[in-house]
Amino acid sequence: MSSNEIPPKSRDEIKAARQAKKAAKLKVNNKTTENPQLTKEIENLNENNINSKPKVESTDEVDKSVVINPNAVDISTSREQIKADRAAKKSAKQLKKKGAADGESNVQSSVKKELKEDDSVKQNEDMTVKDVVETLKNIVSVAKEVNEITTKQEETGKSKAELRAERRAKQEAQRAAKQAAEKKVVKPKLEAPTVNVDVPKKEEKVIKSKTLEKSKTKLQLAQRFNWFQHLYTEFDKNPLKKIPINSNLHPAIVKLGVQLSSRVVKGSNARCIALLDALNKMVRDYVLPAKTEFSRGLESHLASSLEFLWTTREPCASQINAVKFFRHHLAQLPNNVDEFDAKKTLQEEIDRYIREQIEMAGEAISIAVRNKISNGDTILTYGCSSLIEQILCEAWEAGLQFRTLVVGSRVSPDAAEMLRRLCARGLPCTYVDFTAVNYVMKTVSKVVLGAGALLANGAVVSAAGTAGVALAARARNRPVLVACHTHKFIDSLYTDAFMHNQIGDPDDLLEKSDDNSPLKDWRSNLNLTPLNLTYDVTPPCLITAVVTELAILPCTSAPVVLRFKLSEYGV
Amino acid sequence: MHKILEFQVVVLAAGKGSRMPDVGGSVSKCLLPVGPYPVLWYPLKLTNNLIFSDVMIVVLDEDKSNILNALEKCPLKIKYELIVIPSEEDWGTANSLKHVSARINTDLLVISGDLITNINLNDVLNLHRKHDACVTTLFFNNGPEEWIELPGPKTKSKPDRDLVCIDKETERLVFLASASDFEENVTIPRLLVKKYDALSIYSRLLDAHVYVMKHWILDYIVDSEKFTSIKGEVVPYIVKKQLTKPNNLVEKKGTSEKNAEINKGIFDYAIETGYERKIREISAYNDHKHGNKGVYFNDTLRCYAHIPSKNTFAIRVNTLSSFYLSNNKVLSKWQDLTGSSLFERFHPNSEVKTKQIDDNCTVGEKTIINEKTSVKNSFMGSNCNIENKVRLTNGILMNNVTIKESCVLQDCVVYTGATVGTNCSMQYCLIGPHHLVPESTKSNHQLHAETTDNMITLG
Repeated sequence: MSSNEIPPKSRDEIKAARQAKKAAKLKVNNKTTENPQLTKEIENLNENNINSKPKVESTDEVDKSVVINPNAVDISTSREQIKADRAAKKSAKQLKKKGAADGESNVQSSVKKELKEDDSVKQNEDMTVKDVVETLKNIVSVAKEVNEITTKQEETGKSKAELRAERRAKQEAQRAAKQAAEKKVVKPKLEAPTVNVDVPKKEEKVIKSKTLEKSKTKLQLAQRFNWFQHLYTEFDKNPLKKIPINSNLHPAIVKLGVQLSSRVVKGSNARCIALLDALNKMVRDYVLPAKTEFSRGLESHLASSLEFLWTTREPCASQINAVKFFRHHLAQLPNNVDEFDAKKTLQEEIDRYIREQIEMAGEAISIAVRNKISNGDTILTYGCSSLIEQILCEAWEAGLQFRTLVVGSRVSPDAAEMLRRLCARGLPCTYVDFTAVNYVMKTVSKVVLGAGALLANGAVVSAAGTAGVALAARARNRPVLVACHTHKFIDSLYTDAFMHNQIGDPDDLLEKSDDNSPLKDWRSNLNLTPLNLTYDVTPPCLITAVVTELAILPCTSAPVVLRFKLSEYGV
Repeated sequence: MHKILEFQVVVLAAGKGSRMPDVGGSVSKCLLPVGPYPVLWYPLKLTNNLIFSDVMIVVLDEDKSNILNALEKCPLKIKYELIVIPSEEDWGTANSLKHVSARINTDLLVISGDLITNINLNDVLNLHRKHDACVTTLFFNNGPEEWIELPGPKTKSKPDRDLVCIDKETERLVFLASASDFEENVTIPRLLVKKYDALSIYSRLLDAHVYVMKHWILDYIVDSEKFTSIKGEVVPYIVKKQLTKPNNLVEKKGTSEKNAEINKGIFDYAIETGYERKIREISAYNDHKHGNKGVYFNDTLRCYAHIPSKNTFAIRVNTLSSFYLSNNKVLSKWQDLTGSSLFERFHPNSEVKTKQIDDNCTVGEKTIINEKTSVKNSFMGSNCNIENKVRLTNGILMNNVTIKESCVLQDCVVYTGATVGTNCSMQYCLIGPHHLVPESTKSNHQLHAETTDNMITLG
């Protein structure tokens, strides 16, 4: 193959193009196949000190990358070249390192390599620099057409057999790499993927998946979105399969766990009430073991129950607050309290919490928002929120004449559910997809949104897409009201949806009714990573006001509410 | 710590095997051997995987001691309790449940005593929990039963079929009836078609007779005297009642209070104590896409049916063919079924003197297999005696069977205590309990049993 590299000058252009393409390929090769080359060499050396054929090829590849080095230095234009250079050097270094362990024999090879490098440098001086520059630029700018170029080159330059041989060598190298050096695979990946590199990479991966059957776990790991690695939990239905029946967990807790993980209970208010209801039943049926203080006994029971529940789904702000509240009252029970009294107190407290914090607060918010709605308004809302539903329905029943625009995304059926509920109550509604929100925004007079949690910095955590709606409203200068119970205020702080979020079922992104959906077998495509985020964070600057049961407040007053609640509920 | 039970388990094992051929004498269905253990062991093993602490087994009076004896020999970790029902009266499954109702104070899981399967019961229970269902059932969709040539006289028995209508997406069970109730036409309520846009109607499902029930259903069964069978009456009734909720509400408002106590309908039992309704209302979940009804169409009664994937193994040992088939397959599925490999195919107290016995055989306690015999694919119970020069292929021998010299038995089922005389040659035969087959009998597809005559030849 190296003989092909030194064609007569008349074929300068073709040669240059070929080399440039090789440079691109080699970068990848060097990254992914560094190790295979190494291992192969070592193998070869161990067998006999004579270079067998694959070794020749691999060193050739290194040489090829070096071939371009002088040009790259001379021109000092494209980053790619430099990178290729670096990669080549690296591989050479690693070769040496490994070789050192193996002893003398490797020194020979490295020496030999240097010689070869020298040779190739000489050969390259013959080439016209300009041509190379031009073709390189072409390739950088038209990265996507690399494939076409290769086909062209196949026609003009190499025979198919040669290409095939090359590819086979690559594959073998990859195979060796996987077996020998799994650790180092991470390293090459980290090196910045430029556009040019991506295309050949994909090709390789396809080949990989064809030739090698990876273990399934690897596949799954690969199909996790890199930025969100920390959010992936092993919550997939497995823990539910192993629930021991009649364990220490209360049946209501187990049921809630199943319902949470299957999303039968969703929405922060519903989850909060469901949790409290389950706790209520747990308290009701709790039997105090002998010689135990009530609060301590129940506390340990509670801890194990919650541990189970949180494995089924991460707690939301309202649940966290409800648990804090429950623990507070549990801790306040006197030491020698009677079991019956203690249960009664706790159950009453739970009922009170649901009544005051959720039901009555909901009514207060409803009235507050109703006062802001005037006849003839068009109210836009996003997703499904039990509170918004309550507000709109009560406002409608109070005789206000307004129109509702429900915005939903294709991914979640929530908005359709909201639409159904509003329609069932006779409200005039329009449904638009999220993509149309900008278009309809000009007809909207107010935007009313629900919230999953309100953070201490005033940011609103809500169903994914809320931030987009708020942004669209801000662009049109429409007021954005967020209706939020104070039991959803939480004293944590984050400004983006990356840190805390939940990964939804990636299959929700697919159109299930369509059997021919191109995404249907995404699991077999390594390059495809569907990411279904559940929440997003709306920054406080996009929100006009938060309507709570206390008052209509600016977002920035969230810390005040938190402090107030701290004193009131010990939460 | 005191445990709060979520489910109590009732295994119904009082079946008399009415679908099995009559071989004279009584053979309790749950003690039929499948592999090395009786049938009843398999449902118990199934529940054992879920660490159920105590299981109630409903058995017939006359079988109690036999069952106790048989179960003692089986490896089981659970505590079980036998509950006796009188043998003379022909009690249905609902009657049996009524009988144990006093001891049940939680939701209950009813398992039929003749089920052999490798399904994870948690799938059924999770479906039940997920939708807070009142009844959840289990069906298998394993295609038609394999055909194998059966011992005994040839019969043309038609298996009972059920018509089962299930909403594909939610697994809701919306229609259930026995196929024999219909002659030509099946009428499906119009409301069903209106409600669900993708209903699947099955007619070849295998009903596992596994029911997860709310406790109040038991109360209802006890209070209303009209039910005798769970499968035939209770479940179809509740499934049907799913549809009739709105009428009932109107009725309830309309009727005066004096009627209320006498006419206590099923809906009066289905009372939710906590915030369930509110949670359902405010949760953003809905199980259907169209229409303007709330979640579950606002139904209070909800029945679900779980159908596991096709490759699960499931057999109900209630006919001769399933009995024979289960024996045929049990060893190959052993790992799946029990989660452990079978160590002792030959009981340590048995005497196996022949070398011509293959790996697909099991031998029970104190069974003697003499020299020069050849045994293939056969299951032998305890205290059997197989004399010299016997050839045994694909046979099932229950306890205390004696097979005299030079017999050739192929595809035969020999019931408890039977004796086969010397030099017999039998193919596809059933030999009834305590029957004595005279010397040098040659027969094919026949039933030998102690009935009115000494020997009946049918078919």
